[in-house]
Amino acid sequence: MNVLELRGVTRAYEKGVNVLDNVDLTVAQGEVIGLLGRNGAGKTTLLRIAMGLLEPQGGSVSVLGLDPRQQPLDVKRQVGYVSEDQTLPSFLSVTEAIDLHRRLYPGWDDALAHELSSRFQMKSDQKLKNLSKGQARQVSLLCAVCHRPPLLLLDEPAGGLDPAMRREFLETAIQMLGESGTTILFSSHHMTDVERLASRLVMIHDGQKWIDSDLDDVREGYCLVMIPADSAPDSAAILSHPRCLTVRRRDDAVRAVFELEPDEALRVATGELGLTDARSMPLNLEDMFIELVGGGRS
Amino acid sequence: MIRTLWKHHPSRNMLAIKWLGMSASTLITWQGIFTYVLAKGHSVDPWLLALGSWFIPALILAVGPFEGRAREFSLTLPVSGRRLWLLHLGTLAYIGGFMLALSMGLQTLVIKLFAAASDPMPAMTEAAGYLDNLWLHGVAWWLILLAATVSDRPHLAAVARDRRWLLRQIATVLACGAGLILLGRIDGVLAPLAVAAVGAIWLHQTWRRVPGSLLLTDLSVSSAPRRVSSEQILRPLPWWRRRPFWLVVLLHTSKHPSMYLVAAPFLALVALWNTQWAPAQVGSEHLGFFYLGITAYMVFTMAASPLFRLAPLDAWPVSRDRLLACFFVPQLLFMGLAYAGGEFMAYHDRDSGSEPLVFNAADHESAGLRMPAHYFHLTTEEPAAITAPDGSLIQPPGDWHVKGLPGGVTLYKPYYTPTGSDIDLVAWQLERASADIFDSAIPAAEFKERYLTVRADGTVAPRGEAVLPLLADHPELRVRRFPGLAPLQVLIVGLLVQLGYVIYLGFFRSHVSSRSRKIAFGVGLGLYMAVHIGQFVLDIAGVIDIDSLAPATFALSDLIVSWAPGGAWGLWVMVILILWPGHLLVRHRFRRAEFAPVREGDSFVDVLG
Repeated sequence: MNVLELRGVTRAYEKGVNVLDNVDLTVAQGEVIGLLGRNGAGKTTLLRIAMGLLEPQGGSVSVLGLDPRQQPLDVKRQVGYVSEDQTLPSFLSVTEAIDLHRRLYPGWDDALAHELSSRFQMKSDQKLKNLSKGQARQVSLLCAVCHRPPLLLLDEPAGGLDPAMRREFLETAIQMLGESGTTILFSSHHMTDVERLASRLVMIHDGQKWIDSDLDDVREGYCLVMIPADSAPDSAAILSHPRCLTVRRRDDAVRAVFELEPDEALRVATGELGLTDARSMPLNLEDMFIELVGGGRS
Repeated sequence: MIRTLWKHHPSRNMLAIKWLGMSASTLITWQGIFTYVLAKGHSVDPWLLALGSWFIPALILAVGPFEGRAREFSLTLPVSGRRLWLLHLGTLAYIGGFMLALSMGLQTLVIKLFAAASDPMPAMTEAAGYLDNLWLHGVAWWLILLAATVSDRPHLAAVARDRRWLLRQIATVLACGAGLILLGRIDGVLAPLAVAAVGAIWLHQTWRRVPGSLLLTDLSVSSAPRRVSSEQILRPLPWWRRRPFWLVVLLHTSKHPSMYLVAAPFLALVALWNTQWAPAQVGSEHLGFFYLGITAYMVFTMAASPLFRLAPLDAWPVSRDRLLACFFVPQLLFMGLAYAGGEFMAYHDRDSGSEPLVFNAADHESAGLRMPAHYFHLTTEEPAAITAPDGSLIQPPGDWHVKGLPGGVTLYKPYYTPTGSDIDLVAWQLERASADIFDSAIPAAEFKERYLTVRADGTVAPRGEAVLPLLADHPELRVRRFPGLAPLQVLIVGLLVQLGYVIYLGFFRSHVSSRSRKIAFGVGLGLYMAVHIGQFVLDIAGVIDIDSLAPATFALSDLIVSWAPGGAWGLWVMVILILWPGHLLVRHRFRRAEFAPVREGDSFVDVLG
């Protein structure tokens, strides 16, 4: 059974502008998926729909075999959710916040709570409003995961944290829980985090899923082809190739992303498309993200 | 530039309806307490009565959220610290002046109205004589308060709202208030001018202390937090140390949790005002029915405002039904307790109401049997004739056409005693009236022997006072309650709140902007207030007549109870059955609502919630 299934999910906030447009996503047990996309791409909306906080206008959602809108409590009891907006009551002390969550979640694991609190070096029982941003996020994470949820949804969980704190936070949340079989779907703007922690990458752009692939396949299966501008007068012709994802003009060159290995892409460019002086190169995740979101959709 | 900074000043944007409303409401309470004390025949220092309008806005200005002098953004601009400090001073003068003018203006109006009444209270008349002094000295001491407030660490962009600050501000208000009490009775403009001059000099001296650039914080450091072990942090709390879940929800969804402390007395007051006890304290026991609009307003405010900040709770495994209950049940229980307390007092406080039965002799301008109008009966036709024990027919007149009810409804007194009635008839009618008014009847024979006499001319007259001391003479006697009132009040308030809540929940979809929701909230509150005020406007316009409509609601409640299968309990069941579909609709809408997080703004519209 898939842990999370989205079928043809569509959601708009304004008429005619779909934040998510017919999105399919299937997440199997134990997967750690990095969700990438620009601001406003629809990542948060997707995670909120999965959590049952928003209702899709089209399509269906299934979390652990349950419909989050029809059985919200059963879903929320089995899902851990951390987002930048998901603030805990600031007037509670750390002890009170943890105690509250212990009562809210039936499967609370005190051993895991001890492990996390030691790892985070929680040493003071202050009110949450007096904690630093990083400390508060650590308490949020502890509260969200100590019931050992089969599915963990993290929406920019490390946003605003310094690099050391971010790494500590994500490694704790994702590596530690991922190793114990928890399925994790996390959104991030930090490609390095995704490259380091995720096994699969989903990229959303303009409400649609652009890439959904294992990270290794992404690294090996996509490349950038650069053609001097005067050799590639017709961008549309390049974009019409079924394996070309985007084309954009930058300075004196046309840059096209192909869903092919570099050698194969070069053969296509020079052979099928008849482009002279083309050269191809592998893409790292960050470059691919920039090329994709900066260019046109095939 | 300065205009823009002024427009977005952190303190200026806190001048929301709620602060003005709180100022006005507190003043009304203050006024109400004094009026009650005066009505009870106690003496009140009129100066103290007048001073309420100064103390309340002064306290709000001193401890309200007006400590922000400049935003961090403003500090980065090439604007001098002195200019920013002056901007804050101007803002406080504007906010404070507005609140003070509103409060003192309202107080002046009330005192002058009472003083000009046909039967003025002496304390009010005396208080009216202090009004000129109040305005002059009040403004002067207000300037001192302002100077004291802005002189606190003037180098800071915002003073921390810590305990030290709070104590200082309260002490300042008390000191200024003491000055006003001591010097405020001095006539003439010289004394207030001298006080104002001190305030102006103080402001000038403070202005000279302001540095070229304001600072975010000063050099003070707090003590390090106490270190504890993770075992201590993770230990389960005993039940008595846990906050109730509903309280966590209410506090977490409130922008200003301290508002609950202010709102709670008003909730209680509103509930009490719906009983027959609180209105009876001011001699209008039948007026409670005309405060249902304001009751709905309070319930809606308390239950609707948390929705703005519900998003952070939405991921918790807590059902929407439970969250909905958190917004309604505590306040309804609180109001229910206050209501029950009021009804208990009405039943047991024998001093709260005056003796209800009066019998005036024939030569009196209001001859015959008199009783409070809410014990009258209703009819849509000619009142039914009554057969007296001697077999004669008595035709009660249709005393009062109820303007505002359809079908030509008339209030009449079924215990009518025509002029020239003999003592047997009067005693018989008094017995019947007592059976209607009290929980047990007083026999006609007792009326004849103890309370009535026959004059030489053959007319019947009271033996002593016209007001028959029945409650005084019969300690076991209790005034009858109207069991149909509470369910009808619950029905009307329930329907009003359900209607508003169902419509309002429609705004909680992710495509609806936060601004639209806040405007809808404001409009909703306005409509509830319009329901409340509208009754009195219709009364003034002559469309309805509250004087007859108010007692008619009592008689109507009795009629409905008599019609309802199972009496009052049956009526309660019917009310629950009527409200149940609305409750289901509210639940359905609440379950479907989307509470996406919103960015908190601080515009006028934003602070409505």
